[in-house]
Amino acid sequence: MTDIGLIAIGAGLAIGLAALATGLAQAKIGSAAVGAILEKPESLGTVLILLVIPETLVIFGFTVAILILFTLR
Amino acid sequence: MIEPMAKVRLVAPRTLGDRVTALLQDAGVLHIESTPTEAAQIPLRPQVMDEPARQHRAELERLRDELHRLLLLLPETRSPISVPRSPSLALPLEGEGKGEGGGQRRTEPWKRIAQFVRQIGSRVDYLTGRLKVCEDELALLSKYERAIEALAPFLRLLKESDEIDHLGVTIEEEARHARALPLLHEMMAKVTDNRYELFHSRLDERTLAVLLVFPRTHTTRLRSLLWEEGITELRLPASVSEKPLAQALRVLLKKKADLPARASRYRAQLADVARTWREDLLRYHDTVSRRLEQIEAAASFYQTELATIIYGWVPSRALGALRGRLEQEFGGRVVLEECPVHRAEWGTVPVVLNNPLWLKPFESLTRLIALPRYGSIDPTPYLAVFFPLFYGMILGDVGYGLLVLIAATVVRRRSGQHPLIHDLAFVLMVASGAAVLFGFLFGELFGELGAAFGLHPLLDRMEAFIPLLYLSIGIGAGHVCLGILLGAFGAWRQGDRHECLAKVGGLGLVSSFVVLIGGLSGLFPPLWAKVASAGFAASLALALAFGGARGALELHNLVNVLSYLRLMGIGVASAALAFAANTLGHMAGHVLLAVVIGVTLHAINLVFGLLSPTIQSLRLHYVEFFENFFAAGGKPYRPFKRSL
Repeated sequence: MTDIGLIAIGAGLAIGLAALATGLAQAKIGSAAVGAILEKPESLGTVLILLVIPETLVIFGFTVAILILFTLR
Repeated sequence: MIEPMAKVRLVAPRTLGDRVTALLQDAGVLHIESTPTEAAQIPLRPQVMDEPARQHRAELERLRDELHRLLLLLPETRSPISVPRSPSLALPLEGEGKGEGGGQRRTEPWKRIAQFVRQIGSRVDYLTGRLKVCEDELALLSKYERAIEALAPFLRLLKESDEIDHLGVTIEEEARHARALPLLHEMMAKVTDNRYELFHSRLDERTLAVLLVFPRTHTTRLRSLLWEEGITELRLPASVSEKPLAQALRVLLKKKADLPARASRYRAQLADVARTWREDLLRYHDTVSRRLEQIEAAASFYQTELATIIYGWVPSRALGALRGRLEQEFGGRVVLEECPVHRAEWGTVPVVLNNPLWLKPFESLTRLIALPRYGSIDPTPYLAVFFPLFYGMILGDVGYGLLVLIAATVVRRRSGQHPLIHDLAFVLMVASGAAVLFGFLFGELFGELGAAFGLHPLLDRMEAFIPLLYLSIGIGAGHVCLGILLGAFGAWRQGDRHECLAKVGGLGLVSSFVVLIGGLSGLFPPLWAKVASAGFAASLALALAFGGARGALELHNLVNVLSYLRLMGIGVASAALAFAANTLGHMAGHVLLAVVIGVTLHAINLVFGLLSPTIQSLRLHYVEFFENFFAAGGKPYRPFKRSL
């Protein structure tokens, strides 16, 4: 396999695994969030924060993928 | 900004209690404090209601409910007739003497009104009752309408006779009853020995209405046979079920002709009552409700033998006007004092956000998370600057921005009755304007289609990843540093010098970290990196020295800065989706197919463009920015005022 291929796999893993982790976390938070909002609609703001917190993971994954692609190429 | 509030204590003679309460309600600026801190220091006695007052309140509640019921029953009218026959509302409600007969005088006007409402109520009840009977009967008759109409021509042929009876039946012409009519003829012939008549008329495609005429001696036998054959006998309303069919149908036909006119007559009479009295009833309802609110508010007052004492909060700018009104009304007999507000009390002070008109809609974004505590910093002005900036940077497309702008403008125009949607639409209008400006910077109009219209990117999001990465971190560092600065200012204002210095250490941590990264990546000279390293160590020491374990949490701001990379990440994803929409469209090879693919994918991207930049921009504020200075938990300001 060429270096470029390995770099591409590395970048793909960086964002793919991060996205998977974010999805798992958001699935759990989301299901609890729906219940919380039904019980207490005014908690929307707080719930929104909790829901989007794991998204940082995928952003970091994306950044690492970009860095891999642009610095190792 | 958070409106400065004045803590007030109002002392009035008990005899003026009701009038003072009415004035306060009319002024609508006093947030009544039911548990003032003074209550713990001075033995204050809460104002309690005596038994007659409780009964009076119960009567008023009943009166309000009755008025509410009547207003629901009476139709709204456009041209009320003004007749000065109802009891006057110039009631001596307030300021009644407590002397002999005072209580009696206080309740008498209400009793007059209650009596009047009872009179109107009985008239309305009679009319609505009759109207309901008519409407119920009409609804019932509509069920028999078709059968009555089908059989009516035959009934005219019949003569009343003790010898002859008749039955009405309906026959469903389904597969099982396909031969029902011949069978019926056969059965009638057999039972009556051919002494019968059978008339039928079609109700609809599948149903026949049949009138059977036969000697009365066969009635019982025929009924049981029909039942055994599963043929439905026409069931009539209970009011006519005992009458012979012909007579019953004639009664129903007459009713059917009379009922609409009767119903209209009752409706007209109700409308007449409404035109004459509805306005008065509305005014009574308003007055009774207002009086009940005053009684409710008085439960939070305090009292001595001779005085009523009211604690509360008034916006400082409204204090002078309130004092002036009290002076004008009571001429010095009522005293309004301003009490000092100690820092320890700030948590109990009600909060009013008071921003310029153009910033007001952004208060909705602040309230979405929580109301800031009194004495802390209102983040609304910062939200108004940075939310559109972040939204615009993420969406960054002239085409998408204009579509969102149009949608938000339409929503804003159509949402006059819903203040939250009205405000959020305005926020989206500003944010989409920023998206258009960033669209010009990135040279994007539905992706790279802008090039066809002479749009050239100053910063190409599909190419300049690394510069965008630096830009995002730079904006993040600036935003987080602003948050820390506000936090330091807030701590200093609250007199917490240690917290303030720990925040300064946190500020040094973030700024030295950014310079260090810049130095290591070659953006800044290497010497800067060395200086930044020293600065980082010193800042950490400062944060730990003055913040203790909490000071170490300032390190979390470094992660917060990196979180702003989403400005680039989500933005590039949006641009890539637009690029994919255009590329797939080109690959379709057919103009129509290309348009369908392109429009569909751009529509999907636009939906993402509405949701994702909004949520991500809010998150950057609520999590990364607010963390350093925002103190949630403000008590909402709820002034005592007329609720109608």
